[in-house]
Amino acid sequence: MSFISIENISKTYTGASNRALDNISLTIEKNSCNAVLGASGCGKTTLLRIVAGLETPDSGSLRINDTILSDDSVFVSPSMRGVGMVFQNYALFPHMTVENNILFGLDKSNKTRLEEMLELTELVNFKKRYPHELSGGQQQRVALARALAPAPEVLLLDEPFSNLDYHLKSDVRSSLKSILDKTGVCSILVTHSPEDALAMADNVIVLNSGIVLSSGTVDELKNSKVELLRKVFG
Amino acid sequence: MAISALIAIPILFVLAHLFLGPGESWENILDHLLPLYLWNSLRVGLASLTLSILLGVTAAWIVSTYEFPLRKLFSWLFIVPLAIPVYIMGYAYAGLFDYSGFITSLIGVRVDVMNWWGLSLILGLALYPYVYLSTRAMFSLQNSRILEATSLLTKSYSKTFFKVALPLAIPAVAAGGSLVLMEVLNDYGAAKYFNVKTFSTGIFHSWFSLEEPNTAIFLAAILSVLIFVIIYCEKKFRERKRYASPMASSVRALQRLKPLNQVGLVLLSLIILLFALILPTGQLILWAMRTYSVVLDYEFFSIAWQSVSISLLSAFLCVLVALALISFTKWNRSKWVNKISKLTVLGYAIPGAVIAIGVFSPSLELDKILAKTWSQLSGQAPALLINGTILLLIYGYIIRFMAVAYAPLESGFTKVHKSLGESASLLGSSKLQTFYQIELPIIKYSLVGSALLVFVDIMKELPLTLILKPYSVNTLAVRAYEYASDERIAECACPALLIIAVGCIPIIFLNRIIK
Repeated sequence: MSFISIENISKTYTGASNRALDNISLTIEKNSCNAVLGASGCGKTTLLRIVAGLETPDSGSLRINDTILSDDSVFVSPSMRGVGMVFQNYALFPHMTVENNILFGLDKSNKTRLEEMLELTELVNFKKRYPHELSGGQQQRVALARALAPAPEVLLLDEPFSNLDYHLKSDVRSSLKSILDKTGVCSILVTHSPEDALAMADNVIVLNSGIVLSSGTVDELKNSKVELLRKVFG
Repeated sequence: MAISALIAIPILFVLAHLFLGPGESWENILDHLLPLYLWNSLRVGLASLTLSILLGVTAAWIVSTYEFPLRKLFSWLFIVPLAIPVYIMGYAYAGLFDYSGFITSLIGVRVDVMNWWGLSLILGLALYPYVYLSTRAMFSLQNSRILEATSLLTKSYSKTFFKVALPLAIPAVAAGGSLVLMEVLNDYGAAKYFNVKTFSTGIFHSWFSLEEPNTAIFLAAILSVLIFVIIYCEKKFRERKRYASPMASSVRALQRLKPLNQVGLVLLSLIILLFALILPTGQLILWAMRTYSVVLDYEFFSIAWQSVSISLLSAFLCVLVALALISFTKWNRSKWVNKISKLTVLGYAIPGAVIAIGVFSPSLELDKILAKTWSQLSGQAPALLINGTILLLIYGYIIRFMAVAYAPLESGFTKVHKSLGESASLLGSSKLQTFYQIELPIIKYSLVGSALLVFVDIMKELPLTLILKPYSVNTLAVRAYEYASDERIAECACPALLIIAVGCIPIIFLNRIIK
C-alpha cells in the first residue's frame, strides 16, 4: 500500500484557459525522497499546494497514510494534515527570532524538540537572530527546522535551491540531503533543475503541461534522460 | 526656495517663541491650567487612540482576510466616517445622549458624555478610518506565503492574528495612530463643546479671553514640540527592520468561513458602522428635517458659496504649489533641496490653531511696516493691507494642507519614469512641454485626487478659519460651530450634512480609481 496516493486530480485556475493539472495520478512510498521535475508553469507547485491543502482540486482524491484528505466530500484543513512545507521564499516570520520561528508550530513548553531541531539544522548559535540577519542557506535551514518541528508525516519543498547562489548550491544540497536522510520523513520537492532532482531524490516524477510524463527511480530517469529532457524543456 | 521659506516661516516663528517666553499670565497658566491641558490632552489622546486602533484594526482585518456578504460595500463604508468632521460628530453624539436623545430614550437612562471620555469616544469613532486605511493596505499586501506557512503550523485564528499578522502590521498601525493623535491635538471644536480643556482650547483661551498672544504662541510652541516628538517616535518605530517582511508580496486569497461566522462578521461590521456613521448622520438628518425651513435661507447659500469657492481656490493653489515643489525637487537633485521641500509638508502635523497664530503674528508686523511705508508714500492714513483679507486665510490653508496635496502627487510622480523625460528631451521637448504632454496625463488622477482631498479638508477646517477669516467671510464649518456655541445645536445639521456630503466625493472618487 502506497503512503501518498493521488488519484485523478485536476485543477484549473479561475480565468485560465488551460488546466494546471490534468487528471494526475501518482503514488509515493513511505520514507522516500521524491522530486517533481518540470519547466515553469507545468503545474508542479500546484501539485505541492494541493497536497498541503493550500489549493482545492476541482476533482480527484488525495490520501496520506490511508486517510482521505481531499475528495468530492472531504477537505481537511492544512493545519490538520500533518504536512510541513518549506516555501520557495522560505516565508519566515520576519519579526520573530530563529527559535520563535521554530517554536511557532510547537507547544511553548516543548523546548526539547526546539533544541533537537536547532542541532539537526546546525542553528544552535543562531537561535537569537532574526531572519534578516542570516544568509540564504541559514534561512533555508530555519524554514526546514520550522517545518520539521511538529514532526510532519510528509515534508514538501518548493524549489528549495532557487534562491541560492550557484557556488552555495552544492553545499546546501548536501546539507539538506543529510537532514532529510536523518529524519527519514517522506518528502516531495519540486524543482526545474534535473541536476537537483538527480542529486536529492530516490524517485523522480516528470511533469509537463499538467500531466505526468514519467515517473520512476533516479536510475530509470538517467536511462531515458536525454529523450525526456528534450520533451520537458523543449 | 521662496515657496519653502514662505511655508516654513510661520512654523519657525511659533517655535522661536519657545526661547522668547510667554506673556504676563503665564504664571497663572503654569500653576492652574497647563497641568490640566497636559493631563486632558494625554488621556483624551490615549483613550481615543486605543478606540481608533481597536476599531480600525478589526475592520481592516476582517475585510482583508475573510470573504463574507457585502464585504466590498463595508470595505468602503468603513472609510466614510472620515467625511464627518470631529466637532460635528461631537454635536451629533451630544444630541443622541441628551435628555430627549435617541440613545437616552432607548436605554431609559441619561448617560453624561459631555466629559473627557465622551470626547475620547467621539474622537475614536471619527478618526478610526486613519488606522483602518493604513492597516488595511498593510494586511492586503502582507506576504501571502507567510500566512500560508502559518496555516500549516496552527489552526488557531487568534494565534495567526496576534502572533503574525498584527506584529507585521505594527508600522501601519503606528502610522495611522500618529495621524489620529495629531488630529486629536488639532481638535478645537469638539473639545470646546465638550468643555474639556486641552492644548487647543488653551491656545484660544489665551488668545481671545486673556488677550495674550505671546502666551498663546508659547503654548502653541509647546504643542508643536509635542507633535515633533510624536513624529520622531513614529519614524523610529518604522525604522525597526525586524517588523518589515523582506519578501515580495503576492495576492492574498480571502478565507471562506462557515455561514454562521459570516453572519457574525456582517453583524460586527454593522455595529462599527452603527456607532461611527449611522447614528450620528441619522441624528443630523432628523435635526435637518426639523430646522431646514429656518436655516436654508439666502445667508446659508451665500455661506455655502463662500465656503466652496474659498476651498476650491485654496485647493487649486495648494496643488499648484505642491506641483512646483515636486518639479523643482526633480529638476534639482541636490540633497538639501529635497530636505527643504520635505520640511514644507510638516504643516499637516501642526494644529490649525498653531499655524493660524504663526501666520497671523508675523504678517501683522509686516502689515504695520507696509502700512507705514504706504502712508509715507501716499500721504494717506495708514491701513492694514494683508490682515483682515482672504489672502491670509488662503495662505494658512496652503501651509496646513500642503502635505495632503504633496503626498499623492509625489506618489503619482513615481509612475513617471526618468527615462520618459529623458527620451522626450532627446526628441527636442522642453521641460514644460514634457510636463504637459508626458507627465500631466500620467499623474492626472493623483492631481485630481489630491485637489479633492485638500478641498474637503478645507471645507471641514475650523480652528485656523476661526482665527484667520475676515469678518465679512464665513464658512459652513464656522456656521455649524456658531450654531452649536449659541445652543442652537439642531440648526447646525444643515451645514454639517452639506460638509459631510461634500466629504463623500473624494471617497467615492478614490474608491473608483482604486477599482
